[in-house]
Amino acid sequence: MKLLTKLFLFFVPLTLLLIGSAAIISRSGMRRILVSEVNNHGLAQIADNTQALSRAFESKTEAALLPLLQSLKEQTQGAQVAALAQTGRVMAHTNVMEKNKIYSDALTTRMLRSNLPVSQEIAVKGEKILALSSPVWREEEEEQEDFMLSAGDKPKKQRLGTIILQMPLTRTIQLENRLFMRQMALLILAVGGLSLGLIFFAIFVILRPARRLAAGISKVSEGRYGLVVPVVSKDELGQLTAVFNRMAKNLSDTTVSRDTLVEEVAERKRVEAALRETEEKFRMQFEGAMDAIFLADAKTGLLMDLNTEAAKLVGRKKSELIGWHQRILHPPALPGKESSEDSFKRHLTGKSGMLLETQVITKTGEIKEVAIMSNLLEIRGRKVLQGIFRDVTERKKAEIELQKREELYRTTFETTGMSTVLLEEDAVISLANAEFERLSGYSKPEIEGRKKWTEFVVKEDLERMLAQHRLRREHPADALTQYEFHFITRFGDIRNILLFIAMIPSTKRSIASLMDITERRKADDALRKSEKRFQQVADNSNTWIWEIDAAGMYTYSNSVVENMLGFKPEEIVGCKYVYDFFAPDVKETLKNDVLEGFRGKKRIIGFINPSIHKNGSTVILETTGEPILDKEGELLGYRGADIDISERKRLESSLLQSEKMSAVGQLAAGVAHEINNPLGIILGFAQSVVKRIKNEDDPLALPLKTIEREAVRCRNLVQNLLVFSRASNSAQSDGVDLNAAAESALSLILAQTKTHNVELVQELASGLPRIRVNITQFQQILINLANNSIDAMPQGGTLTIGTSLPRKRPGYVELRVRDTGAGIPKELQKKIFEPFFTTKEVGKGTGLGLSLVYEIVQKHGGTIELESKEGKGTEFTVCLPVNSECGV
Amino acid sequence: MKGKNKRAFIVLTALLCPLTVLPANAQEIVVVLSSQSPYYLEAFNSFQYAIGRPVESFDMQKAPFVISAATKVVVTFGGKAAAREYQTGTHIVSCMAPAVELSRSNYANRYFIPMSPHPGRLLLKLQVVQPALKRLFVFWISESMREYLRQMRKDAASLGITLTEVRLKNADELPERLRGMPGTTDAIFFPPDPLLVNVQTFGTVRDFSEQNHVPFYAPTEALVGKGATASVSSSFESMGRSAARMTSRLLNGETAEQSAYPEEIRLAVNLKAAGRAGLKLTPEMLAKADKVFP
Repeated sequence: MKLLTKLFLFFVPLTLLLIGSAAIISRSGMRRILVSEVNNHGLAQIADNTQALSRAFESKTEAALLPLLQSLKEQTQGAQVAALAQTGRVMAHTNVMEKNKIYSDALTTRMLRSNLPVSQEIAVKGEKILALSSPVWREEEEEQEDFMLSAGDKPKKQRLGTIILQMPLTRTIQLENRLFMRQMALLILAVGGLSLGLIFFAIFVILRPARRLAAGISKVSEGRYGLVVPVVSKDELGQLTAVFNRMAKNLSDTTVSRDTLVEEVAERKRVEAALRETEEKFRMQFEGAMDAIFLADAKTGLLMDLNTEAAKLVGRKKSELIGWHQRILHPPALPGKESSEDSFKRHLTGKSGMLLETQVITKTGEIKEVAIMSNLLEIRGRKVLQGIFRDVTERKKAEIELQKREELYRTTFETTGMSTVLLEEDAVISLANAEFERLSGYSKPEIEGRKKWTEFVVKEDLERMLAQHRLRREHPADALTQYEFHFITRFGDIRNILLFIAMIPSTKRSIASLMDITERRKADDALRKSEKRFQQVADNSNTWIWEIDAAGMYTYSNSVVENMLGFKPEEIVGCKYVYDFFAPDVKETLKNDVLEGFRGKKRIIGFINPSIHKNGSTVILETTGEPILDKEGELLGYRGADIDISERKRLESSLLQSEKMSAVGQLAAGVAHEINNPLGIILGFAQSVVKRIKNEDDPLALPLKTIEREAVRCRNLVQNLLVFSRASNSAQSDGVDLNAAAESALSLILAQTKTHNVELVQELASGLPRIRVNITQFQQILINLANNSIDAMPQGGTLTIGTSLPRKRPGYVELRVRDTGAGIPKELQKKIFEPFFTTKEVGKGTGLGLSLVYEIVQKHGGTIELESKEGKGTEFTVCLPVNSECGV
Repeated sequence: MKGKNKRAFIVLTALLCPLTVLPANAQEIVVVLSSQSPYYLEAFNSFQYAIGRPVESFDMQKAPFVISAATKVVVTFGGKAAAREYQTGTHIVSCMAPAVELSRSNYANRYFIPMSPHPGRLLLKLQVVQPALKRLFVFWISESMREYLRQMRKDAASLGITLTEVRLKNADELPERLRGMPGTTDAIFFPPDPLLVNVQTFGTVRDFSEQNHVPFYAPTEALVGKGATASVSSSFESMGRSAARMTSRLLNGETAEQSAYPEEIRLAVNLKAAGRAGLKLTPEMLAKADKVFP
C-alpha cells in the first residue's frame, strides 16, 4: 500500500472523527443554549407579571387568572399556560376545559414542590414542549425590622400557587437544526481543509524525497550508475539520500554501467546502419546515374568498377571490362592525335572536374564521341580516377549540321542582292552584308556591333521608324513589315529605301532588307507630273475625255462630263457603261453599233449619239475614240473624247427650216400675187350680187353667200401667204419693250380666251432689256402661239404667257407660251414648224401659223423651242437677242 | 386600494368634507361620525360616492354642532353617533352601531345597517368551510343581538342547523359555559356583540377551539387573522353603500325596512386555525374564500 494511501486512511477517519465529535458537542451545546433561551424568556415573562399573578392567585378566581394566563401565552407564544394551586388543582387554564383538574404527574409534583423555577422538556402529542414552572408568592409587604426574630431567621414567604407554562420547542428545534447545519458546514470546511493541508504537507515533505530516492535506487538496480538524487532536506531522508548518492558514484567509477554498454552498442549499430545506408545510396546513385561512370586505378590504369550506363555505352558486360586497362575503351589514336594513355595521364595530372572530349569504341567497333569529366579520388588509401563519360555523338552531329546551316545562311545573307542587316533590340547592327556596305559607304568592321541603324535614317523619318522598332518587339503583328524611308549614306546622299523587315522568332532581333528605289521614285515623280499636266489639260478643255474597258465600262473620265451630262467622274468611272447614256429611243440601235465596233476594234469617228443628261434633257454628242490593244492585239478598251454638238444641230435644223421657210415664202408670194387679182374680181362680184338678194328664201341666197364666204377665206389665205413671204424676206427691227409689245396682243388674246373658257395667266418679268424686234411681227408671234394653244384646249384650260431673262442664255430675252392642252405627239413635234402642216380639219387652219412664227423668230436671230407631253400640255419658248445698242 | 393608500384617501376625503360648498339639496342629508376612525371614514366615503354628491358631515369628537331643521335624513357611523338624540321626524340611518341600546321610543324613524351580514347568508357561507355544520353555538350578551339572533335561528332552521344561543350575563361567564359545551356543538359563533367580543373572550374561545378541535367563527376578518377559524363579514364600503341606498329611498318617500343588511359579504379563513379545529379545507372551498390567512 502506498504511503499516500496510508496517509489518506489515517487522516480521513481522523477528520471524520473530529468533525463528528465537534458536531455532537456543538449540537448539544447549541440545544442547551436555545432551550435555555426559551426558558429564560418564559421566566422573564412570568417575572414581569409577578405582582399581577400574585393578586390574581389571591383572588382565586378564574376570571382574574385567565386573562393573565392568556397574556403570558401570547407573550411567550406558548402552547398552554396553567395556574395551579399547591394541591395541584388547576385554578385556571388557557384551555378552560382543564379547570379544576388535579395534576399529579411526577413533573407537576416536582414543580409544585420546588421553590425555584423548574423546566423540563416533555413531549405532548408528539411535539416537543418545554414545560416551565414558576412559583407565585404572595406580594412581599414592606420589610419591618423584627427584633424578635433571631439572627439568621428569615421571615417565610407564602406560596400562592404555581404557574406552569408549556412552550412549544418546534421553532427552537428548527432553529437548532439550521444552526447545526451551518455549523457542520463550517466544521467540515475547516477540518477538511486542515486535513488536506496536512496531507499535502506530508506529500511534499516526506513523500517526494522518498519517491526520488526510490527512483534513484530503481535506476541503479537497472545498471544505470552515475546518477544523483537531489537532497532536499536535512532529516533522515536527506541523510539517506546523501548516502545513496555516494554509493551511486562509487559504482559508476568502478563499474561499467549497463546504460553505457547499451549506449555503446546502440551507437555502433547506428553507425553501421548509417554506413550501410550511405553505401546503398552511393550504389544507387552510381548505378542509376544517367552518365557512364568508370573507376580506374590511377597507378595501373586498370578498370576497377563501372556502372550500368558505362557497360551500355561501350556495349560490353562489366565482367569484360573490370581488370582490363582503360585503353580498351578507346579506339586507336589517329596519327597526330593524342593517345588514350596520354589522355589518361592528362586526367591524372589535370584539375579535378576537367572536361575533355574524345572517342570510345564499342564492342562492335562503333566509334562514339564522348565528353569525359574526371575526378581523382582516394578510396581506402588507393588513388582512383573516376571518369564520367557522356555520349555526345548526337550533339557533335548537331553541331556539324548547325555549322553547315550557318554557312548556308551566311552565304544567303551575303548574296541576296539586297542590302541586308541583322538588328539588335538596342538598334545596333550586329551583321551586315556586302550590299549594305556598298549602300552605306561603310565597311563591315565599321558597321557590325558599332553602328546603329538610326544613324542611317533622316531626322524626319526617325521617330516613325523608332516607333515601328518598338512596336515590332512588343506587338509584332501590328508592326509594318514593309515601308519606305530616307537613308543617309556616309557621304550625305539621301536615298529612297523600301524596307522589308521581320523579327527573328523567339528573339528580340530583327532582319531587314533595304531596296534602293531612288531612281524608280524619280521616274514615278516624272510620270506623276506628266499625268498631272495631262489631267489639267483634260479638265480644262471642253471635250469630255474618257477611257473604257473592253466591255465598255468607264475606267477614266475627266471633269468635263459633269458639264456635259451632269454626272461627276466618280459617278461613272467603274459604274456606267458607254451605252448607259444613249437616249432611250435610239439606245438599242446605238448600243449594237458600239458593240459591233468593239468587236471589230474599229476607230470611232464622228459617232453622233443623243444622250440623256442627268436632268433628263437630251444632249447630242459626237464621239471619237481609239482602241487600246495589248501586245497580242487584244482589245483592252477605248480611249476617246466626246463633244456636245447639240447647239450645232439646232442651228442646222434652224437653218434648214429657215431655208425651207424662205423657199416656201418665195413660193407663197408668187402664188399670192397671181391669185390675188382673180380672187379680187370673184369676191367683188359675189359681194355685189349678195347685196341685191332681198329675200333670204331666195334659192340663190345660199350659193351666193357661200361663194362670198369662201372668197373671203381665200383672200385671208392669200394675205397670210403675203405676210409670210414678207416675213420670210425681210425683218424690220425696232428697239422695243417686250412686255409693252406683248400687252396689246394680250388684249386680243384675252378676248379669245374668254370665248373659249380658257384662263389667261400673265407672268411678265419686270426690268427686261429692250430688244430690236418688229413689234407687229412680235405680236404676230404671240397671237399665233396663243391661238394654237387655245385651239389645243377645246374643253378649256389655262394659257400662261410669260416673259423673262433665260438663265442659260445670257443676252437674250424669253417669251413663254404654255397651255394645258392635249400636247403634241413626239413624232409630230419636228413637223409643226413646216409650212402648211396642220392637224386641224380642212378649213380650220392654213398650217402657216407656226411656220410664220418660226420664220419671224429666225429672222430676228432668235430661237424657238417646244416642250410638249401628251395629255399634259405644250410650252413654246422663244428666245430673242437683246439689242445692246438699245440699252436696258 | 392597499391599506395605507386607502387610509390616506379616506383621511383626505374627510379633510375635504368640511370644505365642500354644499348645494341646498345636500342639507337634506347630513352625516354624523362617532370619530375619525378610518373604518367610519371608509364607510362614509363609500356612502358619499354612492349618493353622488358631497354630504355635510359632523364629528362627535369635535365641537358641538347643530343640525338644520331642513335635514331630512341623518346618517350615523359608529355607536356614539347612533346613540345621539336627533330632531323628531328626522330619519336616522345608523351604520356600524352594534352597541347601541336604544330606548324604544327612539326606534321611530330609525334604520339600521347592521355590521353583520344577513344571518341566512352568513350560515350559507359557513357551510362552505364546514359542510357538516349542524350544531352551532352562539354566545351573546347585548340585547341588540336579539333580533339578529332571532333571524339567525329562523334561517338556521331552514338550513338544517340547530342554533344554540347562549346568552351570558357578562364575559366572565364564558369559560364556564364553554366547559359545558364539548361534544354538543360542531362550531362556536361570536356575533358582533360589543359586550362579548374582547381580547380575553376571543383568546379564551380561540384556545378552546384549538385544544378541543371546535371551529370558532368570528364576526370580523381581523379576528380570523388573530386565530379564529373563519369569518363572514361585510366590508365598511359595503355598509356605506347600503346606507346610501336606504337614504335615497327615504328621500324619495319610499318605505324602507328598519334594517338593511349590506349586500356584499366576504368569507375569510385561517388555514392553521382551521387545521387545529379539525376542518379539512379542499382547494375548491378555499377558492370560494375571499381571504385566506396561512
